[in-house]
Amino acid sequence: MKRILSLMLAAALLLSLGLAVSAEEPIKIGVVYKQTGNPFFEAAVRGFEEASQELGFEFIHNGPADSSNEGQIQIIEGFIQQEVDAIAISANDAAGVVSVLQTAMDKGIKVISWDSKVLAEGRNLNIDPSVAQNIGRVQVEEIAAQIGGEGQIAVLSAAATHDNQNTWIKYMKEELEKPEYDKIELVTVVYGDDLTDKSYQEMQGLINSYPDLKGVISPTTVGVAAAAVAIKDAGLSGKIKLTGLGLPSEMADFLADRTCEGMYLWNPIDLGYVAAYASVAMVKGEITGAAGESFEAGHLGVREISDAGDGGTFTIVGDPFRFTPENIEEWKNVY
Amino acid sequence: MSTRQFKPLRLGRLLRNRELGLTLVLLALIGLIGLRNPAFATPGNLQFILGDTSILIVLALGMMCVLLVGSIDISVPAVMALSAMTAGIVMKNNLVQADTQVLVDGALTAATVKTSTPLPLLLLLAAGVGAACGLLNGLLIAYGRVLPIVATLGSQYILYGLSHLISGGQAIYRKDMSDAFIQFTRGNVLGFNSKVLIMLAAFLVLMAFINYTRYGRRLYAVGSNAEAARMSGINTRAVTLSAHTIMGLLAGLAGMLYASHDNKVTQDMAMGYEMYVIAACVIGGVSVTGGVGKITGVALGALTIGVINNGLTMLRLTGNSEFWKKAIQGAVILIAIITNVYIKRAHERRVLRERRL
Repeated sequence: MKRILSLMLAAALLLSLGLAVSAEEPIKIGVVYKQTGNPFFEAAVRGFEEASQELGFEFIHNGPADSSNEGQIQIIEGFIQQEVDAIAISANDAAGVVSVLQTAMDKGIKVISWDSKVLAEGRNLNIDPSVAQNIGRVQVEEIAAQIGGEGQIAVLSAAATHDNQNTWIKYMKEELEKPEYDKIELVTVVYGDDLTDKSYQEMQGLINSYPDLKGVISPTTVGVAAAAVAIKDAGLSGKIKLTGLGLPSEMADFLADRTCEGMYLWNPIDLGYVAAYASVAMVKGEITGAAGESFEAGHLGVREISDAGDGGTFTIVGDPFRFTPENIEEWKNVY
Repeated sequence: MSTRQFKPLRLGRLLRNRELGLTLVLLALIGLIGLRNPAFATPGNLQFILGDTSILIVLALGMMCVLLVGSIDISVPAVMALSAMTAGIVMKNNLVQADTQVLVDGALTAATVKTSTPLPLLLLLAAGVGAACGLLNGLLIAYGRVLPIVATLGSQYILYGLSHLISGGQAIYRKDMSDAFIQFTRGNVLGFNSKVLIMLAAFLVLMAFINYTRYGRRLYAVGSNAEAARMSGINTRAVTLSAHTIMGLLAGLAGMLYASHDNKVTQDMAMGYEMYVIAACVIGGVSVTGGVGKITGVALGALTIGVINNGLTMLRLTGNSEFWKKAIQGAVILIAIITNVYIKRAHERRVLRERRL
């Protein structure tokens, strides 16, 4: 009995000690991304680093090796154990992490999703890289300009289950209905599953099946790079135009040799930076994540929070950035 | 081989040849897909498929050696990734860019030339890393007595982790590659893609090795009856070790082909590819329990997978449904295997019948 009592006392002592210490500890954010080793997320982490130097918070970051939902759940559970103040996540499965994130929110942890959202019931706020409609629109404008406003085009997407891909493609189709695009025909949408080999084969298939193909939009970094290789291998650089969302480091040579004359991507560093500022503002209680609020995102200025239309709220980082043969040199070693 | 003394029916003679059966299936597939989409059966596309399947064939040759001794290796893609990543980092660090002028259509045009460590050295390095990984697998299995599937499952994780570690999370992209390396899988000799030529070289060397050397026969001996092989003086452990080393070496080489073809090396390169490699062997008639299999069958098995993959892309009969594409892929593989089994059973029945006479 004595032993149990002393144990309980010790535990209580430890607990109070822990509480006392945590009150003085800096804010701690747990960053979860889709996949380790993915250069896009390595760049996003740099954004968190930048913000942490400015705001003085601590952060730990991790992602599964296989971009799986299960891997992310384990990481989140670990972060809850480590008593982080906020979790900032780019989700592999919008619905799959909801229940573990709800557990986190029950413990007072703020949840911000960025890059790839979590369903509204599992988050306090979502940070979108850009307005989805703009992402769809700029790619259509780009390919239309490249092919001279007329001819067959195709879309090489990632997977048919990817929410962001489908949304962008929906907006591309809407944009294509405008009268100025009357002479452009979207012949098909194919899926390369974000696998280089499969995307290459799909591109090869497009070349063989549509001899009159003038342009391809690939709104995924893996797809657009594989498409560039396939187009170049077929000796069709410049004959089949290519745009999409590509990583500058991966696409550098293809922009330099004009296999791709222009493509877009948002700056992943800024994405991490805004997510970090949102997390800190929320932990400090400056915002709750409700529509109508706004917060200061360092050198990027004020961000307004609005209704996302899915039961939750969101804010955006900025407009997609256009990479061209002229400016690629300065970006190819950045991310 | 004892069946040679009988004189079966002419049709039976055709059917008893498993490789011939597979060739017929392959031709039927090409014909059927070609009927639906004429762009499929063009010499250009068929050559493309051959080139595309070359990497798979190279890997399947190694897997055949491993399966023959009754082992298996599912760490193949991780070995590819680590080998290509090692060579890729060396290449990236030694990359030199020079602006120069080249003749294009008779006019001097500005161009950038990228050189790095000589390609043969890089290939040697990758093959060496691959062989070392294979050796490690072999040691675990032959001398550590770890179940092959468990041992290579473990090494798959370790090797993927290693390539992540040495790369520091950075992928190798086209900008980090020398021109020689990019051209490595794009060259043409006598109208054949260089991938095909490398595959043919590997094929011929392994065919000679497996079919015409005493050592090659030992692969079969160890796989069909390890105890009997040991009793007859074969060092079964050394044979198993060597089979895994060959697999590793070929995986290292294939990793370089893969990287050059994709213009990219990532830490998770080729993840899941081992299943295609094993499927190619199984379709080609290699027994997963060891001791049975022919090298021509393996090549045909890999080609069947190549034709199915390309054909499904070209057909588009499944619309955009990934599920149907995968289901058809699986069904065709199953049909190929069942056909094979049926031919084998029919053949065995016939042999028995003939014996009774």
